[in-house]
Amino acid sequence: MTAHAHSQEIVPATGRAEVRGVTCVAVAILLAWGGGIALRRIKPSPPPLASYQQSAFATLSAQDQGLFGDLRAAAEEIRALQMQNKSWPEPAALAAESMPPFVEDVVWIQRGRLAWQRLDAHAPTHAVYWGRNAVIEWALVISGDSVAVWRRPYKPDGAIPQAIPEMLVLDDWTEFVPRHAPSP
Amino acid sequence: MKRFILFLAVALSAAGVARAENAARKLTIGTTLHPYYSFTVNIAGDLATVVPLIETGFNPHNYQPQPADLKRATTLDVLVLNGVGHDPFALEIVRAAGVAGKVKLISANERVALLPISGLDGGEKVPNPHTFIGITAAVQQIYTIAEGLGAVDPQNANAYRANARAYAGKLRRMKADAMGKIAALARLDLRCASVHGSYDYLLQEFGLQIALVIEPAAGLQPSATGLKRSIDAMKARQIQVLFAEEEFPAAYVETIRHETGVRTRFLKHLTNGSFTSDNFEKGMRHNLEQLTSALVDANGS
Repeated sequence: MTAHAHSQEIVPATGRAEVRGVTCVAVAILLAWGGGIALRRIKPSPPPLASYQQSAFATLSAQDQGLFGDLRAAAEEIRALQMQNKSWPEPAALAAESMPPFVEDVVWIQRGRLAWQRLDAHAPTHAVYWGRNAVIEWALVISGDSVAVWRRPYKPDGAIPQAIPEMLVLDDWTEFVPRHAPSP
Repeated sequence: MKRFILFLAVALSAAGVARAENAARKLTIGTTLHPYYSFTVNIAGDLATVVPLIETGFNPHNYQPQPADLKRATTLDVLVLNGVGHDPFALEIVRAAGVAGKVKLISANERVALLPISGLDGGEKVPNPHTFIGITAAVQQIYTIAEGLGAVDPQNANAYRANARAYAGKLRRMKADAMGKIAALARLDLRCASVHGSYDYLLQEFGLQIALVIEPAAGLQPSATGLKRSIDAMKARQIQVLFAEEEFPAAYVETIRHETGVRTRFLKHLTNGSFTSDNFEKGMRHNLEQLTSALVDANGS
């Protein structure tokens, strides 16, 4: 009978593997937590404005912001009337419904007595409401589901505004968009 | 053949019952703040069931969701909300109740052009979420809500739109009556302060702007130093009227009045009291009366 001598290396229980595992888990948790915090801090920024656009929130005076808001609210009602009657309402009809900025009340006087008319009388899909005085011109352009509000200083030789943005841009109009700062 | 005819009859009958059940099933619509309850009830009429998401008696500025709110959220098909900073609790409730993605959210201010809070110190413009205290912004939200409901419930879309139009007309006439009271004034000029930065949309409709807000932040009372600073600023800016709220401590208002000699008017924030269909109209009628009387006092009748 032959006795075979065995030798086996016993690795001391340092816990290295466990330490490595726990470290990996800790790093993963820290990365996930840090990433989460970082993502929470990123506020979605609105798309950049085109060269012919300005933020109504940031740039318009209080008076003009009121007019801008009135036009956008009026657009909702104008579209509802168009769906109901299958024709675009005239400014006189909107004024008769006490709808700002068409109704000629004290605020209309304070805002410069803009005279409103509707253009594109024969276009079923779009309408332009043009208001002006000797200082300023505003245009509310409703085209399908889109609503746009444009403004330019009074231009005696300017063309009648069209529902085509490129033409408005060429004729010195600026579009105002209701972009505002992110909520705090 | 007989079996086939029998099968066809049963299938058609079942389909008919299902259709009738769908037609009879009303939407359950939740709303956050009181004005949105009034708007939605007036738009939906008896075509849907409208319920407040939270109970009465809470300050929406610092509301903490309650267990009953979560239970209520699970019963909703649609939730109408302000969505621009006045009811963040609503999204917390929806998430906590596990109904995010199941309840259709209608953000009433989706298309409203927000105004900055006026009368605040500091240069940064902060969007004012109080779009429900004003007629024109309310009208725009009413159409947005009607459109949103119509998208969820196409069968009744025309009725929602017609109701929205009728309700908007009613509100516009209310404002026209108020305008009639100040039609004879030679000018619209009023240097005003408010205790709470919430009245920009209402005042804007009258061509006015708040020059100073007393509260350092929504729902926070000013410190003694802050109150002194406000009083000094009111004197320097020759403020003619202070728009206070009944919820704001009377002692502060009396101190301001005593120190500055300013007139006071009390406006409603519209987020108190019972959830009723006419809560908004009653509150706005009160606000319009307070505002027009302040204008008449300041500018002569």
